[in-house]
Formats: sequence, structure tokens, C-alpha cells
Amino acid sequence: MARRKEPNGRNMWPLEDVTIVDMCDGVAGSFGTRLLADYGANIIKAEPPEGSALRRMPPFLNEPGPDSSAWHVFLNAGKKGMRLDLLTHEGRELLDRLLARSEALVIDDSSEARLSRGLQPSRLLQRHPHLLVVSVRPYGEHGPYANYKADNLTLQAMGGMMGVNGDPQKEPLSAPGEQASMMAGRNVSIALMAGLLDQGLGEPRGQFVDLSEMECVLCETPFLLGWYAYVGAILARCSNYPRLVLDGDVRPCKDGHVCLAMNSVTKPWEIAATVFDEPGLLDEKFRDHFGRLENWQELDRLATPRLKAYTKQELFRIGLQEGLPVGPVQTVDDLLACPQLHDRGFFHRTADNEAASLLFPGTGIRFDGVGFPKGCHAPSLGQHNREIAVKFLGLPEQRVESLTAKGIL
Amino acid sequence: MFPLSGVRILTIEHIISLPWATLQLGALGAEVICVERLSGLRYRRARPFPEHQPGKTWWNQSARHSYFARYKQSIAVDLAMESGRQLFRDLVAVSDVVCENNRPTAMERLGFGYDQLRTINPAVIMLRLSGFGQSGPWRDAVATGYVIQPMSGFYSMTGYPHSEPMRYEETLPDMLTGWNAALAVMTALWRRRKTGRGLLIDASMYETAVGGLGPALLAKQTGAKGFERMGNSSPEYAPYGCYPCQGEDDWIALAVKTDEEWLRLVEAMGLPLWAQDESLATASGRVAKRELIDDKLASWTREFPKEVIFERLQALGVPAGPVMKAPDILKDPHLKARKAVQWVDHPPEFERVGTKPFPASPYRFSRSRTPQPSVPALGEHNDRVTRELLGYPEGKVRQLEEAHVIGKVPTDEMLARPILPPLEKLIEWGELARVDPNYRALEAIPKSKTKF
Repeated sequence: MARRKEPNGRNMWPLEDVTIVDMCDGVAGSFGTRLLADYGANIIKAEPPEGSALRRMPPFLNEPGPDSSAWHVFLNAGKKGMRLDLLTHEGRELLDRLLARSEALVIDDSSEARLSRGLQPSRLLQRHPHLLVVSVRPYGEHGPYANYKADNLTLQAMGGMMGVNGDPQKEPLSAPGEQASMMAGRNVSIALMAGLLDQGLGEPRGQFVDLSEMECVLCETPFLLGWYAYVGAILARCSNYPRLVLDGDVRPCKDGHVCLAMNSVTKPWEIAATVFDEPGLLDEKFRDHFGRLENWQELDRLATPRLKAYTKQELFRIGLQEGLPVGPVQTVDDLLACPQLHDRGFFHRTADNEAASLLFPGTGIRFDGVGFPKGCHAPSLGQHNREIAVKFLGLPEQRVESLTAKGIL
Repeated sequence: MFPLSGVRILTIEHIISLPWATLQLGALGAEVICVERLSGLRYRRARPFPEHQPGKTWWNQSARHSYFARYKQSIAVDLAMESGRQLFRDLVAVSDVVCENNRPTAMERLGFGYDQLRTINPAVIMLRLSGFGQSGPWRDAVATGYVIQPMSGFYSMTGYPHSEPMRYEETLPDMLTGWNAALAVMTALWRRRKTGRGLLIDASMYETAVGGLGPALLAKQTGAKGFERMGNSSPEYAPYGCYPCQGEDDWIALAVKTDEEWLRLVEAMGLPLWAQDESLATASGRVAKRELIDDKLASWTREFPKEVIFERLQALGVPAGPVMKAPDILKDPHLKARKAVQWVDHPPEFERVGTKPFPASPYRFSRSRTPQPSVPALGEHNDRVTRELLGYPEGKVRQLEEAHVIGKVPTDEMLARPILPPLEKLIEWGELARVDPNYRALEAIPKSKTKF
């Protein structure tokens, strides 16, 4: 496969010498490989003839179609697309050629599905002893729930995350945007890099990695077990925590909502009293955190009206100037127009023609002197069949045409 | 040998994102040397403490500290003193990676900017993690989880239908950034192995959190719906949400996405007449009658414990999961079978802490080994690092100790001693739901215990 080079050739992308085959249907594995694609890895998205399930996952950008799922567009960006029928002998042969030239494979299917497609890890490792095979499943490979069904919502519940979020008087609340699987995706990328670095220490030695999405969620709520094991306490759901006045709570302002985190800097109340011209904030009864919790209604009466005099961006600017931790509750529109994100080149255009392109978000990491790989296009189904088969696998053109005619490619 | 054996990481870290990043690297076998301060130890004084009582050596007893300090070594150094900064420079010379999450420019003021570190160690990798990154108009804004999370778009999408945006637990952007930063360090290590060159990594918590909502950002630009604030509901599927069960504040999450799963759910409920309405046979029909279904379904789920519904629905192939609290997690047979919770013994310096549970890394390697977790007392590795690693002579180490450049006891020990409100107050204030007086019974639970 052609290696991608930076225009000035000054620096190699960190992972440009790595090829990974991604056969995932779901969010977690696809996000894990997408993160590595951002660092220059060659990711081959090998999909069944009907395309991966991600292509059918709403919402759709513009009209519903195989290339327009927002999830597919985001998670498969920067990958090469290959359509491969593994229910055929020739399809499996082709996969073997592909894996022989790749460092890693990521899968997320059930044991039965693996059997029908010849993707059993033991078989794969026998044929490709150099290969790193990462499996990401809701509950992992083994254990009583290994074959149970799951969804982002049920995983957030079982990982302990939902139980501490939401209004205590209402049902527990999930986080938006498939966060359970997105967290698992970050761990897929870490497991891949760990396996690659371990391979690199000596002779290439493959192995299997078993990753559980539920356990990724469990890691995310760090104080849940600690409070119970150290004190016997069950954490409350804390999304509406009225006693926390200007301390991480959501408060209304002139044009929306804002959060102040006054507990996290020194002398914030002195600053706030001056900025908002409210000397009552310095009353002795609000002197410490406990005093503020005890006298929260009074503090609320003093503070909240002051916030309503300002827009959220005005409050943020005040925070920036005065050293107060102020977080406006930004909408997606705010993010798309955010001066900080644009200044740092966080967004990339999906096409050269600005009018026809979308702002595509980055990863939050910058390597000094190393640009981002070009292109944030997600491939159409089988878009790179020929390129992969001819240039990477070395198949003759005629054979590629024959495989295409049979529907294997 | 571990995946990151031979990699030495030097870190000056504060809550929570960077400690989480370096924990990932330590859990994969990197040698993580945490350069701690001798005063203002914010995380070491954060509750909970064993039995809600900070002991004499309170700085070694916080559960929050133990959570994030696993797999690390601690040296406690006063970097305000030149001899402390020299010690740091000596460590840079023998390290592969230097990590920090101070405010931008703080490291330069100490003389530890990337260009300065490269004069000591030309191939060093430096991870600089901060709220908004090392550049841009918002670079110097104060950033914590409570600031980043609302700004990242999370809150605007979080909340019950027709309600205001809601806060989510503060740690989410920190944890996401920690994972992201750990990946970046490993990627830079891979590159260095090929090129021999170091790298400066600029990690932004804000951007990491925003990037995690990528599909929402793309959808918004084309007018596609799907990321509006609607509680646990889905615009495409029903029933899809969280339903009350028998038991105190017990709930079950249900996600019916296919018509087949709906039929199985109806079967589990005993084929009630209301559920056999033909208009509910399709997803669109069910979405149109979401409220009716949710009411009826909740009446059924209230009759049973969450574990019973979970097993009954899973047996029929319906995605369901109980909302797990800490005791549920500790008793869960699946997590036990997978050793997903690691029990870590704390040494005597930790007084009453004893053996405590923490989530293990969520991946298991078939070949690579991973290290046993340990939690360092403050300055526990001062000797090892100064004498063995840096080869300082005995006299020099004693000088550093006598001048309080290095130490094992906070210099503001009395001043910083945590004062904890009674647990009853924490319940009244809404931080805790309740306290289980029988929690020590978990000590009888068979453990996948880890000693060091």
C-alpha cells in the first residue's frame, strides 16, 4: 500500500508503517482504529457485501444511504474501504493474504459469526503467528454474560456510570453520543499500541487481546468503588445538586446556562465579589465549602441574579480575564464557531470545495512538527478494492476483475 | 517483560487527566516516576478515607489518591529549590518521556520547557496536557472538569426531555483525555523507536471532549437530528430507557432496537393485551406511542428485582442491564469471573487502608504480561530514585533530606490535614445517597487479590 507522506517530507507520521485490518461492525472497534488512522496508520476497513452495520446507524447526513451515516462518516474517516465476502473460500484466501501483510486485526463479532467467516482467533493466530488480534465485545470473550446482548445504554448502566448521574428524584441518566462504546474505542487503540510495542521488542509474536466494553465504563467512574469500600457509602445521583452554588452546577444566565467551578481556584470568592459587585459573597457564613453548602439558598439568592445580567460568553471572558473558572454550556453551534478550536486548527475540511465540505473534528492531540494525515473521507463500500488488491496484495489485474465479477471483492 | 518494559516516564501531575494517562502506561509496564510536591497535596487530602477518618499519615490514605497512583513510584521533591530542580533535570536525562499538566508556561518558569528539556535529553518525548492546549486565545483560561464538560457540548445534550441542560459527573472529560494522552505517548514511543527522535505532544482536554462528540458536530452541519436532549430515549427506538424495579432506587436499562426484540419483551411480560396491539409491531409505531409503552413497562418492571428482569430478558435475547451500584459491581459474577476488579493490598504506611478494590484494565493479553499494581506512599521511592537510579552518594542524599528538598511527610502536614464533615451531612447535602452499615461484609467476598 502506498505510504502517505507529509508534503515537506520533514517528519514521518508516527504510525505510517503500520497496517491494521478493521472488520468491526460497531462503534468501539471502529473508533479505536480511527484514532490510529489519525496518526497515520493504514487502516483497511474490510466489510461484508452488505456493508458494516455502522453504515445503517442513524442519524444520516443528508439523505439516508450507505455512505451518509454520521457514525460511518466520523468513525471510518481516513480508512481504506474493502468489500470482502468471507462466506466464500476465495474471500477467506484473500483475507489471509491481507493479514499476512498486516500488523493487527480488530474484530467485534459474536463467536457464531466468527465461525461462519473463519475469524476464530485461534485459527487466525495459527495461520498468522505475527498477528495482533484485538476483540472488543460488550462483556468480553468469557464470563457468564459473554453472549448477552448489550447496547450503549445498558453498558452505561452496568458499568456504574448511569447510577451516579441524573436527578435523584428521577431515573438515572445516560451520557450522550454512545459514550460507552467511544470509551471502549479509546481502549482498543491503547491495546493495539501496547500489542504493537510489545511486538517491536523482539521477534514479531502475535497474540489475542480480549477487551470488554462494560469494563471500560467501570473504569470511568473512579470514586464509585472507593466510597463504598472505604466508607460503605453509595454515591448519590448528582446532576441536579442545588446546594452547589457556583461550584460545578448549571446556572441560568442571560442567554443560556453556565457553570462556575469556584472550588478549584484560590480566592475565587474575593474575585467574584469584586467582578459581580456583590460584597455579600464574602460573608463569613460562606467562608468555606461546608458553609456554602449549609447556606446555599442565601448564596443562591445573591449569586444567581448576578449571572443573569451577562451572556455566557461575557461570563467566560470575565473568567478568562480574572482567573475565574467559568464554563459556558455551549451548544454544537457554539462549538462550530469556537475561536479557540478554529485558532488551533481543530477542524479539517472534508473537501477542498468549502461550500461542499463539512468541518471535521480532530482528536485533541497535536504532535509538534507532524501534520495530520490528509483527508478525512470515510470510504464508500469497496472503494479501495482495486488499490488494496493490486498494490498491497500484489494480485494481477485479471484476478481482481474475476474476484469482482464473482462478488467476492 | 511487559508491553512497555524499559520505558521510563517522569511525570509532574495534578488531578485527574494526566494521572489517568500515566496510570494506563504504568499498567502496561512502564516505569512511572511521579514527582510529587511536599505541600499542597490536593489529591492526597481528598475524601474518602478509611472509615471516614484520615489517620495520622492522612497523605497516604485517600481512596482518590490510591485510584490514580496505582502502578507508580513517588518521589517528593521541592522544585522551588535549585537542588530540587537539579534532581528533576538529572531524572530527565535518564527518562524517555516527561509528562506534565500544569498551566501553560508553568514549566518554562521552572526551566522545564520542551526546548530546555531537549538540551538535557535530545530524544525525550514530552507530553503537555492542559485544558485548552498550549496555544490559542483561550490557552490561559482556568480549566477543570466542571469547566470543560459544559463547554464541550456534553451538557447541552444531557438532560431529561423539556428540561434544562444537566451536569454530568465531572471526571468524564478528564478520563477521556487521559486515555487519549496515553495513546499519544505510545504513538510517539513507536515513532521514536523507528526514528530515534523525541516529540512534543500537545494534548487538549477541551478538544478531546469535543472530538468525542464528532457525529453530533457532523450531523448539526447538515441539519440531521438525533443528538437532542431527550433523557435516555432514542429518536429511532422504543422502548429504550431506564425503568424502576423492586428495591431501593433500583433500575433496569432496556434497549429494544428490533421488532424481534420487542416480541421477546412482550413474551417476557407474559403477553399482556396492551402489548399485542399491532400498531406496536414496528419501531415507528412504538416510537409514536413511547409514553404509553414506558408507563406500562414500568408497571411491569416495578414488580421484580432488577437482577431477575435482567436474567429473564437476556435469556430471551433482549438487551437489558441493571443500573449497577458499588455493591452490585463487587458481587457481580461476570466481573468476578473476569477478574475485572483488582484487590490491592496497601503497605503499613497506609495504616488502616488494607486491601481495597479498584477496576482493572479492561483488556487482557494472551501473551503479554502486565505488572502487579502497587500504590506508593509519599516519597516512598526517594531512596531508590536518588541512590540507585541517579547514583547520588549517601552524603548528597542526606543533604537533600536535611534541607527538605526531598521528604516523605508534607511540610504543611498540620495545616493541610483534611477536615471531613460527618457522613450524615454529606447525605443531607446530596453527595451521598446512603451509607451501608454492612459494607465490611464485602471483605468476605473471594478476591482476585494483588500483593506487592
